[in-house]
Order: sequence, then C-alpha cells, then structure tokens
Amino acid sequence: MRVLVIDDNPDDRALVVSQIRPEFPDAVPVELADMDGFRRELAEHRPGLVITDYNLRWGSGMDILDQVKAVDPDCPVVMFTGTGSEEIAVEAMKRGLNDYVIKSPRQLPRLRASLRQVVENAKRRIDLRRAQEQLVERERELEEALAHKDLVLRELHHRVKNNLQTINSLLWMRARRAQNPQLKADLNEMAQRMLALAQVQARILDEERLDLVDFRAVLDDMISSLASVYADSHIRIHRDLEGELMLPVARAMPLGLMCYEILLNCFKHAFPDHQPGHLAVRLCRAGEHAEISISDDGIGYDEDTVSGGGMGTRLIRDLACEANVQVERLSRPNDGTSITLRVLHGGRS
Amino acid sequence: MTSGVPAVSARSTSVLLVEDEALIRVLLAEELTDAGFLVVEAANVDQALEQLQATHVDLVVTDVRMPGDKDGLDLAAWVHAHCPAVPVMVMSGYVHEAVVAGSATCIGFIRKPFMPAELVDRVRAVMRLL
Repeated sequence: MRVLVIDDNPDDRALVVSQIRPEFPDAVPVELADMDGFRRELAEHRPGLVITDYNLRWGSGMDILDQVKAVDPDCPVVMFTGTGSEEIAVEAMKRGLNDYVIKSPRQLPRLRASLRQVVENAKRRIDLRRAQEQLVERERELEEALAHKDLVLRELHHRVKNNLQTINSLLWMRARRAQNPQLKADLNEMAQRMLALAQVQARILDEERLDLVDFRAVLDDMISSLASVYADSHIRIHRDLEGELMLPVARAMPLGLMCYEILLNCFKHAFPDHQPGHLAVRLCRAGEHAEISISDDGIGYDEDTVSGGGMGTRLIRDLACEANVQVERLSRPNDGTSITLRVLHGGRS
Repeated sequence: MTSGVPAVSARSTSVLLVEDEALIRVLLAEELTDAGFLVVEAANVDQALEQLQATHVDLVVTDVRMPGDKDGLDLAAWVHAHCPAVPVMVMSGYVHEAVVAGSATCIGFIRKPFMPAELVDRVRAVMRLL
C-alpha cells in the first residue's frame, strides 16, 4: 500500500511517516512536497492512503483531496493540519475527507488511531460493495438460468403438443384411406384420443406457470372437437362451464382422457340411428372440490348387466385413481346416463 | 364422422390453405376437398401471395407461425389491404395470437390443435355469413 504524505515541512512529513510504520508495516510511504511530484505519483500509482496538510505553498489540502477522490473515491484521505478551522474541516468532510486531525505532538496517538480507522472503513466499504455487486451478479445469473429453464420447458411442451398432433394427423390420414369400416372407426377414435391429449398439452402453454392447466378450457375444446366430428348426429349440446378448475398437469391428463372417453361414449352409443337428444356438460364448484357432470337423455343401459371388467370401465376406474376423482354413474335403460366426476381439491386460479 | 354430403354452395368456393407443416396441410386440404371446396395450397406467406395474385380465392385459411420473414398475420393484413372482399381465417395454438387475429383483418380464429372436421365446420360457417 502506497501512503502519500503531503506537507511542505520535511520534519512534519517525517513525523507522519513515523506514525505510519507501526500501524502499517508493509506500507510504502511516499513523501511529496510539490504539485508535479503529487500529480506524477497519482498518475503512476493508486494510493492506499493520503495524509495531507491544509496549507501548502503550491496549493491547498482541498485540491489534494479533490484530485485523490477524482481518481479513487474509496482512497481514504486524512487532513493533518495546524492551520485549518472548523469551517474548513466541515467543508472538507462534505467533499469526502475521511478524517481531520490537528497537527500537534499531543494529537499523534489520535492520528495513528485515525489512520487505522479510515483504512479499515475503506476496506469494509470496498468489501461490502464487492459483496453487493456479487449478489446482484448472482441474482442476474439466477434469473437468466430460470428464464432459460422456462424457455426449454415451454419448448418441450410445444414439441410434445406438436408430436401428439402429428400422431393425430397420421392416424387420421390412415383412417381416411382405410377400406375396412371397423378399422376406419378404430383409427378415427385413436386419432381423437391423441387430439384430446394434444388439447390438454396446448392449454398448458396458455398458462404463465407451466405446471397448471385450465381444465374448463380443455373441456370446452374437447366438446367442440367431438361436436364437429359427430356433426351429422342430432345431439343438442348444452355447455354450462361456469366453475373454475385449475389442475396440475399430472391430474389434467388422466382427467382429460376420462372426460373424453365419457363424451365419446355418449356421442357413439347414447343415440343410435341418429336419434335426436340432448347432452349436457356442466362444470361447477362444490366447496373446495369441483364437479363435472356429463349427462344425456339417450338410451342408457342397465347397470346390473354391464360388467365391471370391461376395458372402458377399467380404464375409467384407473384414470379416476390417477386424477384423484370420484366417479358417480347413474344409468337406466331408456332413461339416459348421468356421470358425475367429483374432482377432489380441484383448484381455482 | 364428417357429414358426408358437401354443401352445394361450397362446390365453387375456393380456399387458399396456408400451412407450413406438410402433413397437416395435406390432411386439411383432403378434408376440405372432400367437403366440396376447391383448395389451393401454400407452404409459406410468399407462396400464398403468389397464389393470391395468380388465382381467384374466396377465403384464406392460414397458420400464423411459419418460416420466413412474414407470418400469417402479415398475410392477413396484406389481404385486408389488397383484396378486402376476401375473408381470412387464422389457425394458431397461441391464445394471444387469437387476440391479434380478432382485429379487423381476420374474420375467424380456430385454435390448434383441432380435428379436420372442425375446420370444415368453421369454413362453412364463415362462407354462410358472407
């Protein structure tokens, strides 16, 4: 650390230097007694500490202070003078002076204490600022990393949606060319299931948070798709989707498939031979739960004769478990079917 | 499935279908053709502009995000400025694009992904409106 000692009087400089050594054994004292020497020193080296007299033949301690602070605002400057006044001290402090000590032999211990203090304070200030800068930098890095993660996640969801859509298109395309009516129907159904999943996936991308899905929108998409596919049926659809239902993706996917299967069953089986009828889909809140009810006035079925081991039934049961949904089914021959899905703890937005 | 009988009025209706993904474009074109529409295809906005200048088109159905400098909304603005009688329907998977598409330059929005039959329904509905 270079310590500049600025004073016209060689004895006073020696006095100051004698006080520096015990406090800062590694310090390099640089005695300066003219403006050229001071400027050269300041141009060539960064001072670690400056002790200056106020009254100089070639300038004033105030100029020294200003020039040092202009080069390095953190460099501590102490004025050690016998010719100053309280006004000068106050003015100098305003300009950034770190301490002011009256030049007298009795004040030498005070000078030493002051030098120690201002150097420590400067070091603390610099450390604090560095720590703050590092904190800001770290925060920026974290924000960048988070934004990047969000981007990757969004891209991933987008790809999944596109892939599901591609599978849907391929199945649909194959179905169009199938000669066998059963194969055609099966392929169409598979295409529609893929689309149902793609629709859930697409709704994930609507949300700021990429882990929640607006299930009301999913249900709406699904009904529209099926209504188009079965446009030649005579089913009047009533949608009452007033309740909010925000679900984590892990629940939305199985629930989406469940709703799809139930709706598909209704379109396919409830009204044979293009019979006219009604399908009502309702989403409402029931306290902390949500309820989706899908009911029709179609042909219904005898619950006692439907075996619980069929693939559709089993699928619904397993999906219900995954989605944490209670299923209530009510159906009688010639008296329609009503299915209520109670979505336990289904969230609001 | 899709209603089997094409609407008589649809027979002479020409639809410019702009979609960069070949599989989806071919599929939608087949579906529209089966429904009785005359379909002109384009894989990007530049091709669409060429088609618009070379052929008579009654309706434009366009994707929004496509490779190249211009997107489907630029195309909609161009059509609105140069062929104001031709309605434009936008297909997109992004809700905020629906808001933009809701402006004066577009007559309809269909959210991707959708069943090909849905597009046919919507195109029929738009043509009935005109």
